[in-house]
Amino acid sequence: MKRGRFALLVVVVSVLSAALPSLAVAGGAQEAQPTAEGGAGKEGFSWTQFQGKTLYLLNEKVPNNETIVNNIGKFEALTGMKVVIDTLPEIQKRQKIMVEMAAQSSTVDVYTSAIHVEKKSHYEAGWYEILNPYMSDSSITPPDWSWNDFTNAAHKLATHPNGDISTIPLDNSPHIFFYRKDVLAKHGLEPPKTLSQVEQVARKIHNPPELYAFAMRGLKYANAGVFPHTAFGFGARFFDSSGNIKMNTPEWVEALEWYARMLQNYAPPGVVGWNWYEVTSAFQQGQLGMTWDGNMFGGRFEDPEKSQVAGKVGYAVMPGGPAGQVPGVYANGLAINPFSAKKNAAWLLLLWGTNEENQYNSAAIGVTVSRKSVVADTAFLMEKTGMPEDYVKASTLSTELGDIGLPYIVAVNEFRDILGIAITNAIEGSDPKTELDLAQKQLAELIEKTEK
Amino acid sequence: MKSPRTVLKPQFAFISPTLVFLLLVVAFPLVYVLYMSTQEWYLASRVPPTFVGLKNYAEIIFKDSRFGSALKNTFLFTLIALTLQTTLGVLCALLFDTEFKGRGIVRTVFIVPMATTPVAISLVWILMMQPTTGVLNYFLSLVHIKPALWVFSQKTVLLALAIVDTWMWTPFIMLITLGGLSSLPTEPFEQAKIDGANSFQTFFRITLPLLRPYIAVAVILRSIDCLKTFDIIFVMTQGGPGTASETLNIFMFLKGFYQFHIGYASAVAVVFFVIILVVSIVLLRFRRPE
Repeated sequence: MKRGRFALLVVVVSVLSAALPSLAVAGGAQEAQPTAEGGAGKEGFSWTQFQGKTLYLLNEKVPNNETIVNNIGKFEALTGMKVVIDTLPEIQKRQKIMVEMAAQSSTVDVYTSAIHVEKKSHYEAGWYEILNPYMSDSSITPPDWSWNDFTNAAHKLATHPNGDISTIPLDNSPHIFFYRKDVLAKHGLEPPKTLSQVEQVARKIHNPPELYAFAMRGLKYANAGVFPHTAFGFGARFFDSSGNIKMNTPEWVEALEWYARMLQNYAPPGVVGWNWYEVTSAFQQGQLGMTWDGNMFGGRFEDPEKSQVAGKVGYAVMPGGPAGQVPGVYANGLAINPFSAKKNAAWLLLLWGTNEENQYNSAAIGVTVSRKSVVADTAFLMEKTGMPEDYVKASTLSTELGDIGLPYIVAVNEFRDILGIAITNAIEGSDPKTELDLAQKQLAELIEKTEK
Repeated sequence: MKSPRTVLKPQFAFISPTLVFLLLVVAFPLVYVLYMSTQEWYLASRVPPTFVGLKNYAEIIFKDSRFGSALKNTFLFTLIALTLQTTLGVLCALLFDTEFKGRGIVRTVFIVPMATTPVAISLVWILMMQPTTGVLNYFLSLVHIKPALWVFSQKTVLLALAIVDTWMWTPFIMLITLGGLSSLPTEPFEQAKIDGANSFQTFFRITLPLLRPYIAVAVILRSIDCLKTFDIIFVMTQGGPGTASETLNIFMFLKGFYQFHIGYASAVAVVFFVIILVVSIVLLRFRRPE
């Protein structure tokens, strides 16, 4: 082949290869149009109306979602459908969803959504199928199903300001206060109820290296999942009265000063690198006096085979500040892919996944679920989880008092990144006001770019 | 006699499938990244990608202080790691060039770190570097040295990461230098001995200049790798504490796969590629013999 023709071949191949994405997107766009599905017919609802279909569930690997995975055979027997489950860790699941949705792929039918992170971003991107019409469609919703069977917290988590409902929450996990009953009793101290009392107690029980009085997440991004609701107690709020993000008010500064001071003075060295894993492990091994984090960790602390503090842990609602107690609440839910070709069938998986039986099964392993009847069954929760009464009461009360610990914005990941850096720098000794002023500037630019 | 073109024809036919595959695997990503870098493209949005020309590049170079910080961290990490690895690698090569009992076994054990999986070994190093329960601080306590925070402090994180990288890749430099040592001519050394040169003079005036091309190859290869280091940093610190260990690769990954700013991340990738290219060209100049 002559040199000129060879060069032409190289150019053609390069251009074709660059043009491939356009062809792929065009092909994907055609797949995005859902095809007509079988319905129940005029007779009403039937669990088997979609039998023979196969659903694809993309699941995030968290304990809260295990019940569905472990019991999926019951759904298959009930409906005659088959479910293929793909379980991935948090970050990988988010990346897969991003790729699937960007390509408008119909591969995934149902996915578990971390509502506290994805609520607005997925809604604005059109990555949630809106569920309101499904709830009122009697051909695909059983007559005994009601949205009112779910807690107020679940409603708040799943509903957008305009009333659209985008997920059915599987749980609403509050952050609760864990403290060493034995250590406080030894010093003749009562469990603190306010953040300033936490500091006073910490001063008295701090005894390194045997016992560090207090620790929280210091790792960037992770710390932004616990610091905000700590700051709520100081009266800090994400937005001002005009709806503008405002993260450098005196309340936020006071909260960050408290957080940084507590971790500098009372936490083990190296806490800036700690996520929930390190915090809860240290508490479980008897190295910490107090902390707060997801209530699901209570089960670990009471495991007599692995925990050094089983039977020695007290549980309470997170201590509050001048503005009261506002625990953080985080949730996972089931969502339908709007590009799925089997949305009505997928709706049945949402209904089954959040039914009372599955919610009781989840509650039995320590998950704070979203159905009123299960949450109110204190006797069951104590008997099945083996957890003490103060744990059950703290968890239940916290979901009523609490609020989502992250703002309702599209770019939650970037928010956590920016705020997380400010928190870490403050723990390392930077002036909290300076850090929050810089974070505020960056967040204001971020909101301007992504929300307007 | 056949013309060169006639001889080449069947050979070209045999390699063309591989050539086409390479063009698709190499040319396509390159062209597509260049295309994406000129777009305002936020994946988690209904707004389609918008052409913005060089706006992403202007923001990276003139506005984004975090890019500047990541660039500084990248070069600082590379400088520390490369200095440690080159010094230790050359010294170890000199050691293994001498005869001693058990040299073979020791040399084999010495190169094991190179064969380890970076992600798995990074998890082990994180446990060893825990300030209160880690074994490294325990060893320091045995010799009455104050415990260090290692990767858990903004002041020491880059050095700690460089130590991990050095542990893994010093054997690589040692092997290349050792290969160079074994291929050096003996006459200059004999002549130096006759002339009465001592060990230091021999090493600095003869050994090191002769080893220069080999060390340069090792330094070039390692510097490109150090600039691109991702695995140990991501596993051990994720760029933290704060942004103290956030290198360009980590920054790019964050922008693209955590925050879904594909256009901006692509522009960072292109700028990063140019930086590595310039560094490689500069280093290759040093390789040329005087």
